[in-house]
Amino acid sequence: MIKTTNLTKRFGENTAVRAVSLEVPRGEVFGFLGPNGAGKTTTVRLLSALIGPSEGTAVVNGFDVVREPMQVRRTVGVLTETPGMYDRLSAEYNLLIYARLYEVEQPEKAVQKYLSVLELWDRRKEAVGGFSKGMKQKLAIARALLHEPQTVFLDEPTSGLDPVAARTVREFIEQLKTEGRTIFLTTHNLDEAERLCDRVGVMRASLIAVDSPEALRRRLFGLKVRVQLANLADSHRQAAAGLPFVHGVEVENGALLVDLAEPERNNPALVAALVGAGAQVQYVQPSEASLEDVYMQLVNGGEAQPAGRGK
Amino acid sequence: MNKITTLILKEWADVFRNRYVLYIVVLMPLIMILIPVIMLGVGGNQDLMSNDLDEIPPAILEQPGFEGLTPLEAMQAFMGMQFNLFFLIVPLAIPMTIATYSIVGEKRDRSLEPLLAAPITTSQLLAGKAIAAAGPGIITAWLSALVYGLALFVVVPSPAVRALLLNAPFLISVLVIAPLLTVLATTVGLSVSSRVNDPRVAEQLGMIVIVPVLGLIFAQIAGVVAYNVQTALISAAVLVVADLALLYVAVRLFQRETILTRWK
Repeated sequence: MIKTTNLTKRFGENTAVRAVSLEVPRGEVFGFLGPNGAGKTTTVRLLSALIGPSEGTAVVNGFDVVREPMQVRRTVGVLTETPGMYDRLSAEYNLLIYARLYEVEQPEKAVQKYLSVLELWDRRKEAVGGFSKGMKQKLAIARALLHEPQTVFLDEPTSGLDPVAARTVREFIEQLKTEGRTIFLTTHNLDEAERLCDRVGVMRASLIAVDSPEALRRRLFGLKVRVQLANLADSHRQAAAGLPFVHGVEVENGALLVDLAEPERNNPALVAALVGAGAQVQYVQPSEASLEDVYMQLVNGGEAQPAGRGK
Repeated sequence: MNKITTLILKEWADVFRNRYVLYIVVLMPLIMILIPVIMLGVGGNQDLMSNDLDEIPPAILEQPGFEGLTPLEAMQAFMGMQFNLFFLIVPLAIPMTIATYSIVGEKRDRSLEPLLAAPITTSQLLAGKAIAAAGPGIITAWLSALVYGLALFVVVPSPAVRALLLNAPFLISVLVIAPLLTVLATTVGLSVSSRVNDPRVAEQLGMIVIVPVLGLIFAQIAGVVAYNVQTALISAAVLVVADLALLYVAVRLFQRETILTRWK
């Protein structure tokens, strides 16, 4: 579990992280989004007790990052932006070093477990320098988990990986989620965040918004339904627009995009009105802005418009 | 296995697989042994030196302790004394190379951040890095001195000349000055590499500490300084003060946050 209050980090004149207040409960996968230089990595470093805050507090797994940095480090796993393995050493020895530094009770056993889980056991004796980027990333994930941390910080875990390796890593994160660990996932991959995260926070020096992707979408773009008609005509648009619960109607790619309140309750009336106006309704589906739309809206301060893609 | 031991073994496993470091560790002592041994071999060779023996300056023959030596022995003893301190470059160069590579190399390879994120104290990290750098420095310096000492039995037939070379100042150099120089090089290496991002820049900056030692060697060759028990002990005292000061600086500079955030 993570709790920060007005967490701030300044480097000289530059404020990298400004007054971040955040609570991530145990077992949640939290996506941390934001453009380059938004302060994401600095926040992760603050939360993993690598650097100290200029102001504010942060408690991770019940330990204060300033007063109890060693306990914080003991109970968190950190996957840094780059794998940072010792290329001249074997995969097994790379992990053994960390198992010993984290005082894992049976280091050899822990190393064997994670090398096997991540399908690297057969290549354990090879120098890491010869590994592909995906293999190094898997090894770095293993390193972050050897001591079975309660909270795991994953900084761009699939960045630069080929689709197959990225998928393996994502599946592994999903598996971690089922183990009840708190996962703090920093990523630029919004599809990944959408797929994996219970909630996301968008950062631009300070935290602009925190919520589930669904709630953010609703908050920023409202609720829309896409009604596909076989015989789209302006009269159909007018019929929909005349309904009291409809806030607006657009025509997009041969379909009506209807902004309405309480779609679950009002969709039957909408469909009835359209049929009454002679429309041949092919299908009705919720139309949601993507997380990318939400992100762009938040980061660019309202420049982006919802694409209105169906789901 | 405690954390410092884990760090030391990791450092050695990693750094000795680095060819550049390995070359320095192996070649540097060899060169520093071979130069004086070759010079002594030449200086003690009657055939090679026969033309010069008549022209030996009286100042050489009249040096303290040279009484009773033949001109050839005096020449050999004189040459040996000029190069007797050469091996002191070993405890400077080797720890410097390892210390700079062990931090700047980690910065460059991006392996330092995961290490700093591990539950190790800054003191444990500093101790691990320092011992990993200093240990090979002291061991190679002592091995170099031992090999040099044994080589003297081959190239210096005269027991009187050997006694002049393997004397008290030499033993002070081996047992006291070499470890103190190792500490000096290690602390300078760690301090410099905490602040720069290129191992070679760190090493070149750190090598500045070699200058005073080279100065002492050249001062002795030029006859400006006589390296005797007194000057050896003064050098040791100066080194103790310098080591303590630099150790303080190294601890102050070796801060997790600074190392991490100043590296680009």
